[in-house]
Amino acid sequence: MSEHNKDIVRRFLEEAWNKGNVGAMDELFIRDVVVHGFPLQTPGLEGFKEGARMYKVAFPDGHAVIEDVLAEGDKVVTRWTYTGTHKGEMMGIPPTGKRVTFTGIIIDRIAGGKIAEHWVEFDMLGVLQQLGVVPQPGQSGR
Amino acid sequence: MPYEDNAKLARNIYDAFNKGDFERCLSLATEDVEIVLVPFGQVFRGREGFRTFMQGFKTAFPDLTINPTNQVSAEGAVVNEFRAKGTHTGSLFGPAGEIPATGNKIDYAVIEVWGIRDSRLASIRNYFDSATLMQQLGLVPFPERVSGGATAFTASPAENKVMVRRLFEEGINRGSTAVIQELIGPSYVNHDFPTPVPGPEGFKQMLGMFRSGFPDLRVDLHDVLAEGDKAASRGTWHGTHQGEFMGIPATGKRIAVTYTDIWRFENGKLVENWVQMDLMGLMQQLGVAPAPGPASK
Repeated sequence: MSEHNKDIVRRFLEEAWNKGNVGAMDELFIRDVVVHGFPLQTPGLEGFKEGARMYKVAFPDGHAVIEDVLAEGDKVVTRWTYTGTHKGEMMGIPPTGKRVTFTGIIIDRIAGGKIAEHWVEFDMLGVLQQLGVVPQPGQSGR
Repeated sequence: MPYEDNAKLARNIYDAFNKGDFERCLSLATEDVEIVLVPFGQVFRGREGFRTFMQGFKTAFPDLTINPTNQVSAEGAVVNEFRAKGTHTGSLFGPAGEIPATGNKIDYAVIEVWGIRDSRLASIRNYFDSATLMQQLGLVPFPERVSGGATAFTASPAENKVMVRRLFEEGINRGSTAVIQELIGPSYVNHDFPTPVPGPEGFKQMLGMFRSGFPDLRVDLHDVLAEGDKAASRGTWHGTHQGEFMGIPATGKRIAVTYTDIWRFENGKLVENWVQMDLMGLMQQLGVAPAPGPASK
């Protein structure tokens, strides 16, 4: 069961994040999935799909590589590294052309063969620093 | 060939192996591909040798599937790390001869060092934990655990979870340096918040750096999970910004910052750590991060 749960998360990263096939999320998540750590404009799967689409627009060549996976019971923990070039608007930030690399750790709770709850932790501050839109803390001005 | 393509080639070949599509595996290998099964001292040469190698494992463990959990790519090479899991329902031909089906479940660690040439698999050196495999097949008895933690074998996931909880609750929240000394291995490194030196001393120094900014620092653990030699924890750091932190003078603000981390265990101790933390949230709570764009994250 753990292997099957790991595959659900792998497919999510491969389809939605790597291939931009956000529609694949319909089979992988429940409609009312609760997402922590990634603010959504609309709650649930529709909002999460919108977020995934936004990332593909912002980073058309965006690609996540799975570095580590562990699973226990109904949960899967995945550590991944995402690399992409900022070629599209992201959260009001016009494209900078900069390449970003960041690591994230996600925890997915699987119920009835679908992801019911998703926690994501990644260094958004680091991403904004790589894009050059936020200075390092403690520096005066830009 | 860019490094990521080496990792992708490996994943494609493993996928084909998992589906039993040996022809596809062979088509992705060079004609002179050479497989060395290091623990058994066996060498398989050429595409037919590659087929024999794959067939051997599929016959012994028909439900064997390989999914690398870690890949390290370099020029002309990729290292793949995975656990081989399956059921021994067919004969396995080991170094001493045929091992008839036992029906036992196997689950052992493997590393394959692949050489890549002309976008194809040119060589594999396969290293696996043959002692564990032999134990799981019932051919060699399991050793007795030595009490006190110092053993050459990994603790169980349940024990690993207890260690993580103790590190946070006793080592960090109750400030027990003795517990930190007990649980953190001498080779401990943190990949995301580098410690000044390895081992428990480095861990204590890094913790000290956080404590100097937030003297009442504590962690609320929400979840701990474990599998194999790894564990993960999810929680929230709490504290009051009473000292300089990352160049930011004390603001007196209270913070609540979420994190998720992964730990690796070796010989009953914590030796490797990856952490992702809501640093953006931390900066916003301290009042120092501008929030760009319409959304806050």
